[in-house]
Amino acid sequence: MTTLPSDERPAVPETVLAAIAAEAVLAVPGVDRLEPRFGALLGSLAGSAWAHVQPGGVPGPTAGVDAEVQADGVHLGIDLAVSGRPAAAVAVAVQQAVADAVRSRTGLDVARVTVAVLDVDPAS
Amino acid sequence: MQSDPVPEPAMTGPTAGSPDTGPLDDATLVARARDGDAAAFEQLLDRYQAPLYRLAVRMLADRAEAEDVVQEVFLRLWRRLPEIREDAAVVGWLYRSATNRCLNVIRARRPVADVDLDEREATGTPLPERAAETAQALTALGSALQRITPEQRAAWLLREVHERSYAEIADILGTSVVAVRGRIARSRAELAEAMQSWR
Amino acid sequence: MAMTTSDSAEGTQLPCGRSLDALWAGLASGTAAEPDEHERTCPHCRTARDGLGALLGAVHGARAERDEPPPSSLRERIMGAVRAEVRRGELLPLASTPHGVVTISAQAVAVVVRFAADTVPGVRARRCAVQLAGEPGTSADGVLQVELSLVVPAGPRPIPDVVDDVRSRVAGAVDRSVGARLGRLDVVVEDVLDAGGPDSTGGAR
Repeated sequence: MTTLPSDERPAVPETVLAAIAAEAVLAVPGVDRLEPRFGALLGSLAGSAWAHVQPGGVPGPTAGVDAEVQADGVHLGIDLAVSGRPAAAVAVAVQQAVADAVRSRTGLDVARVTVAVLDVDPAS
Repeated sequence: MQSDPVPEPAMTGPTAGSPDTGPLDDATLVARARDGDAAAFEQLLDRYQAPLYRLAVRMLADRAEAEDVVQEVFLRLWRRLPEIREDAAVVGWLYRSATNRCLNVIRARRPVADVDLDEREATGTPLPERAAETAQALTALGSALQRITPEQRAAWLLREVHERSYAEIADILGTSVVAVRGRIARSRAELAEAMQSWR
Repeated sequence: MAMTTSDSAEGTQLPCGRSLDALWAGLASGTAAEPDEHERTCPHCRTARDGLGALLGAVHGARAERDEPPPSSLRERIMGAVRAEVRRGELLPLASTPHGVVTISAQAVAVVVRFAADTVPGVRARRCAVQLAGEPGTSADGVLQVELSLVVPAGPRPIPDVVDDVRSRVAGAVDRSVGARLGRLDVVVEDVLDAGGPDSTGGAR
């Protein structure tokens, strides 16, 4: 195992990671919007820092981004809607943009970026 | 020794999945849930939400936060089903995710959280009354746990209460087996000290 | 008396040299439930045994604990969200990169497919089921298989020509909007709409 012991992991709050990722996602051409998967349905009891859902169930700027720090690096899950370009290519570009942004702004390793396209504008 | 609160995944044979063979093994449930079978996911939830909730309550000493953690862990499992390959190891995934999530919640608290333990326990949702002797022991354990570091607490709980293996705990915490053994030994010394003064 | 320990290569040690971990192992396994000669007289060992014994009792209590189940509202919230997700349709793998998997909701593809079919004059898409052409995680990622039921106009164009039009429109849209290949399209003509209806305004080719 080559990863750091958990005590030595830099503590960047997951909400901050999600916000950095969200900004990078929205700058990728063809991304129409972030699409919160569970946001409309769920609130948080304690208001703990799940990026999907803001306290009270109101989607905030980072809704649709799930960031988690694990031993092998940051794991990110992005849910989005695409318009005007092929969804597959947009999603792959999002993976790279998000990995680059999180890595360069936090210095943390990015282990995984999964992207789910939940909506496509059919008229484009 | 008391039995593990987490049922081990049943190692059922080729008949797993027929309606009359009793509980399905984890790997089958994960595979079905990945295909969009909500009922299979519900069985996984029923199997593991209670132990994960108890872990989170002991980690965080706050029931509302513990509920959030369990909710997040299971929704994360649902959304990550397409990428989970080791279907039979879902219990390990769940423990890793929950532990990690608890440690992150603790880190996101005020940076001086260590000195606020008493206040934290006071403001957290109170734990229910229990039968006298065990109740007192568990309450004493609960406060003793809040006095060791979150990483020690996680390692100790996973080992002694949830009976996970050292290798699994090392994987969950992203550290070595040697470090886990050391952390658990130190925790044990500190907890025994606290329990001794309680008794 | 307070418990004094020190950490060494052999683990956590009491001032008398006995190992706390060995004491614990003996207590926990029941093989050393009673103190030995040294432990009966050594104050460090007696203190440690007291503390470890109390801890062991609490551990047994914690392992057996069943009186603090998660509230049923938690389960309902989680399953509510999951069932809503199921209604959105399966997430189909489009591509797998070193970063991880890229998926698309089957519902989102179905919207694209229906929209494309509807652009053929007189045609109305009804049911649409989208799935992966093969096993996930193989070269089948990004190749889709679609079942589509249609209402077609009643003449003058032959139905096979209309269906061919639908096929090419759908394949083009899946390529353009989704970035996937249409491996297979099964079309079921469910109904024929009367000629002269508002939709039969002539071919678009």
